[in-house]
Amino acid sequence: MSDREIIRVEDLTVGYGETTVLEGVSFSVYEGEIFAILGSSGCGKSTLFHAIIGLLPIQKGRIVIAGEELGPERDEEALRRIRQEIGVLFQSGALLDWLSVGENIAFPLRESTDLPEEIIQQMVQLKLELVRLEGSADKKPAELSGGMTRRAGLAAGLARDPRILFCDEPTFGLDPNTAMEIDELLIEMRDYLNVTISVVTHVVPTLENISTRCIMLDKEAKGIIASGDLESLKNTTSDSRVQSFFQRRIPNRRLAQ
Amino acid sequence: METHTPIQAARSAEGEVTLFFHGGLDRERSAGLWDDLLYLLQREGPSRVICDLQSVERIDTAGIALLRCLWRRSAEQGIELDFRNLPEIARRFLQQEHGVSAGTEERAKSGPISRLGRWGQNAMAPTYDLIRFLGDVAVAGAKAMRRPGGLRTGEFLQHLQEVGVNAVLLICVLNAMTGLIVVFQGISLVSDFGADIYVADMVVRSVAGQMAPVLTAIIIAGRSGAAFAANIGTMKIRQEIDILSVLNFNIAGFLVLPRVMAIAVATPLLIMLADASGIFGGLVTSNVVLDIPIPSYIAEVQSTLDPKTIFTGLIRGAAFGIIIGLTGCFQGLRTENSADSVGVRATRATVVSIILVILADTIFAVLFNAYGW
Repeated sequence: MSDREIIRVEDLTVGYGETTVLEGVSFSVYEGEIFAILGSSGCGKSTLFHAIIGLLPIQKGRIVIAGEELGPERDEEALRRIRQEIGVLFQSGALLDWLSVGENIAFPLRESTDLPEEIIQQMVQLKLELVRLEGSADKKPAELSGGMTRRAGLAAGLARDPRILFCDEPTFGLDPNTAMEIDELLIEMRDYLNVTISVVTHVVPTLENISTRCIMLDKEAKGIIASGDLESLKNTTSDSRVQSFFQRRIPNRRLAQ
Repeated sequence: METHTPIQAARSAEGEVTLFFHGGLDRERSAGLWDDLLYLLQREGPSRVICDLQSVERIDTAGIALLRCLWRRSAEQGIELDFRNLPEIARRFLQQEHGVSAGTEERAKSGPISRLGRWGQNAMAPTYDLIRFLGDVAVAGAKAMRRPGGLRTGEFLQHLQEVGVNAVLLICVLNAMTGLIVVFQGISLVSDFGADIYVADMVVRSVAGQMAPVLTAIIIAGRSGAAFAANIGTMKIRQEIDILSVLNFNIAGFLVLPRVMAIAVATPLLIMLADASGIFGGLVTSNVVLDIPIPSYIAEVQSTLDPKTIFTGLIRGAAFGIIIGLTGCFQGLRTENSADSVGVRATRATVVSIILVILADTIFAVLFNAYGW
């Protein structure tokens, strides 16, 4: 992990219409790390995720990604340049249903690069090998299992060799073995492709396996209630909200009579 | 040593060329580099190529892909290719080059007979599905007739309202306009002979006799046939059909039969309404444009309108309704688990229904003519 900032979020406020979900959120992500955004359901993880990747307008504050700035005034040109540098793995895998797995990976390369088709096809093959889906290029997304869909989505998200990969719940809903495969793949992507990874998750084993640093969001607080490496969050915090997240212990539980 | 930035080519021995790569071997530069490489290979015509990546500052999968493509091209042209100072990530994937063909090698070619057989199987699969579907519906229909209490009356009435009642205004307006069109089209024909009153005959024979039933069926196909397909298709995607099956509900009896029965009842009634609307449209137009007195028009309609026209219209209506209902439900049950499939199936339900309706109408026309109806 380097000490170069690749994402900086400053005093961010986002929400939906009149409803503010997050207020005054600030944090940084450094090159080469796997940065986790965690919290309970409804705390704003996905909201923050969508704001960072430009799918949700910013109400206040700013986000700087790879030197490009996003603020309340929507700068389409900056957003376009940011999107050239990022890849996204959505929770559903987010593959285009009508294209094969191979075409899903080739499609962004054809649209946004001048690479000849021969090289694009090799890149598709490489990405499939990276995620251990060799031989699946011709399959349609509907033919894939849940784990295969996530891996295919990961390959598609990495199609353009992005500097940053954003993952929304990459292991949610998967069995432990398949989830571990995804965790391993994410670490390999970071190591082989020098990609910085930002993961939104509430799956504790995934956090334990892959995260270098994390922030925890809270619904009531509408912001960050803890930050740091996972061990310090788990073991040294006295915040009952953080404790209950990791230990699945009801705060102030009264013992049964 | 020749200079050719960003690749420098050096001839080191007879037929041997060393390519020194510089800078980035990445997405931005690979397109141009590939052209340069092809040019160099063609110009130098080497028997052996060594790629030295000592000075490569960064490499991504586009760069690795470029090296693999070079490997393949060299193999095709019988050129021996070696790499020196490969970055770790590139070494991993280029070592797999011999194994990568396992992912891209052609599937074992099957013979023409087995290919023909496989094509035939795939082509016949929808037909088998259709036969099975029709059989299931027929069995469900027979059971319902034996035990009418088992029919889901609530669902039937709900669909009857949706297919029939909610379409009344649309059917009436469109067919009234058809009557108007026929009168305007007929004016030029009959007014030369001073036989304006015969526009009433034209309206009865063309609108009530033919256009109203077919037009009504087309409207129902687009409105209700597509809706059946979309509704059942969405249920399929959401696994609601699976839930019903696991709960031992017969899909044909539970979902299909109420819909088909409702549309089979509604369509003839709508056709009768369409006939009346068409005649009414003609009446208003004749009266306003041609000054034909209303009693005269009505008398002419009464003398032209044959009970057989109404009767055949009812038969055709029921048949059209059954065709549209079955087609819509069948397409819905064949929906695949993809985002565009519901739309595709709804469209197909409409198009296939219309084709089958017109085909059925042709058959009816021949049959009724043969029987003198």
